[in-house]
Amino acid sequence: MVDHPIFGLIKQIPDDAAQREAIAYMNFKGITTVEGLTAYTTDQLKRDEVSEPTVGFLEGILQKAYNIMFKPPEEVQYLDYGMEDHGDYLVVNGNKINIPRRGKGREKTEIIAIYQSHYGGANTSGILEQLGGNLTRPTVVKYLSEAGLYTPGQKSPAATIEPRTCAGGSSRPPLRASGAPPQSPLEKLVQWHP
Amino acid sequence: MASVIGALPKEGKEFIFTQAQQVLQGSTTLEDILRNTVKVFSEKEYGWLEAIQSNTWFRYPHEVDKQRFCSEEALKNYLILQALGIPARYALVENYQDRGLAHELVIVPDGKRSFLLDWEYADKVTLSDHDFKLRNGQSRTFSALHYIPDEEVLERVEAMRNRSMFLDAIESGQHFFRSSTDDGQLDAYIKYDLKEQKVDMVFYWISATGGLPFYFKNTLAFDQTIQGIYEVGIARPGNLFRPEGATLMGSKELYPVGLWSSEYEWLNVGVQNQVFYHFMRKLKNGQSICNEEDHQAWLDAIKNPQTDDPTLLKIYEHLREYYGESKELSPRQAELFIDYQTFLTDPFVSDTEKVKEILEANLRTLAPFQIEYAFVIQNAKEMAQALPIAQLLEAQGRLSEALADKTGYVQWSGFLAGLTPFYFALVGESLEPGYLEANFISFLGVHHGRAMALPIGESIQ
Repeated sequence: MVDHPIFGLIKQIPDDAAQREAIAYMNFKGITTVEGLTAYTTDQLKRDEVSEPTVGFLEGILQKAYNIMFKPPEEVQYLDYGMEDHGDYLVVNGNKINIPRRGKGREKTEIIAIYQSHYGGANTSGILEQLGGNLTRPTVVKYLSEAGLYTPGQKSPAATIEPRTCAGGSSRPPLRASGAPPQSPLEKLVQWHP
Repeated sequence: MASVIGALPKEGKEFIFTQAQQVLQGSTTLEDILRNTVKVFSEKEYGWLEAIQSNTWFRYPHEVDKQRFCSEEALKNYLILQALGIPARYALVENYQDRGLAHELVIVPDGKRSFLLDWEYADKVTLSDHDFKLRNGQSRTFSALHYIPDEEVLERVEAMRNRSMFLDAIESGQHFFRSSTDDGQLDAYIKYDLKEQKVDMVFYWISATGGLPFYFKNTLAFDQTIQGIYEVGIARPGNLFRPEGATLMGSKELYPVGLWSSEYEWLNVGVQNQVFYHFMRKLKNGQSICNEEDHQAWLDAIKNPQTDDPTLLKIYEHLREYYGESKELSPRQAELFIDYQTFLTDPFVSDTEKVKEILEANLRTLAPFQIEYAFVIQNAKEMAQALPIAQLLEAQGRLSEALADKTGYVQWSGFLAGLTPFYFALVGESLEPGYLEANFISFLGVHHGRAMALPIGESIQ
């Protein structure tokens, strides 16, 4: 089946400003087909600062004129030690860790356990001892490296971080109002003596 | 991949998105979009002069003012289509329409056929190795087609702006400008020959009468000393209204005055008819020669041709094409065309010996080639009115500076900057007729020579 050109969708946007915004956004993202647009979630568009009305117009036209939808929104589970579970991938230490498809590698729970064990203070050998089973050293090293947590021959400094629990029961680590991570002593010093 | 528009300056992006939106709003099909994209600059004139004057040489679409040339037009079309997610390809063709010049345009693939966006039109074409076949059966020929990769499109603009691509551009030749008046249309072309160290400028005048196309070619060569070679004549009328039938820069389709022999009977008759027509019009104080009924019949026929006569149909088609999509035919242009074409159908005009006799008896006996000279003077006078002299002088000045900078021959500047406008000024309305014609005779006397000194101002009366 031939994909629909994106200009056909843009043409149907009834509002001038929204139409203009859509042209600029599609161009920015290199989206040339309607089907290409549906690879995005509405959250992604909003994160890219597409206005709510424009997202609304796009969503409505996709459904009515093309009978398709934006990609469903991601459900993120916030795990201990600041880890995030996005379903088909994890975010650990700020890095995206892809989960192999079922039957093609480690299960997600096994991978999460590696990181939990690491954050709990175990080094590579310790992780292998704790988790046992058919886990191998190269697998542990691979996942720690992908998350930027592997330091050969050293115990990870991250092991000193204690799991914390936020108000409301979430295990997401506390952030400042700006959403930035907690201040370091050095940062405080710099702010004090600008 | 994100489009190249992201690399444009902020005003450039704004302009393209605004134009893209307007094009989209006025279109219902892909073909509408392509046609409307071409129309964005349709109110502007054709020319490279303004880009040269601005010292940018190749402007982004938001910088274009009253005039644009083919590269600027192609860039605008390419960027607008990119903004709409349409897979446009920026293309360069060599020896377009056998004129010896390169040309830039945009191609949009669409199944087995493609859409071609040229500076005057967008059409669905069948693309082969050496031509685009338009829907109406006409062909646009070229010797080679190159696609410019997306990532190089804006790089080329910058290279032209900082002049690192200047010699390439002038060597591949440029359609310098187009300018119209009620009497006809002037096209100017320029090309630099690196090997021969010469610059050719060709001015090509198509009278609104639909008579023989007239050209003025000015060659500036640099060897031991700079010398100029001038040539005036008739271009082969392969097409009544456009220079497409002629290899303008290659000269093989040009017929210089003085080389017209009996073997070119069509040419001698054509020249004579035009001179006779203008002679008769002067006798009628500039009024139409033919009656109103004939004029109306022509106008009706052009709008709604009801004939199988292939010659007539071809004339109608050319007339519509020339004055068609982007330009309306002015009343004076229509009047001239119809009057002349009707005049040609008069049985008296077909008696060429009689006409020649009348002309020779009435024209002053200035030289053996009096009819030819009267033809040249008439065309040159009309052409002079279409010449944007001040703008051309300034653009030529900058062009010759850049050429001198690249070639090391500083003498280009003094010559290239003034020659052609100078000669056209000679035939302008401000000069007395006798003075004018005397100088033109002198001027034509060196049309094959190498002499630079013209006996300007010496009346032979």
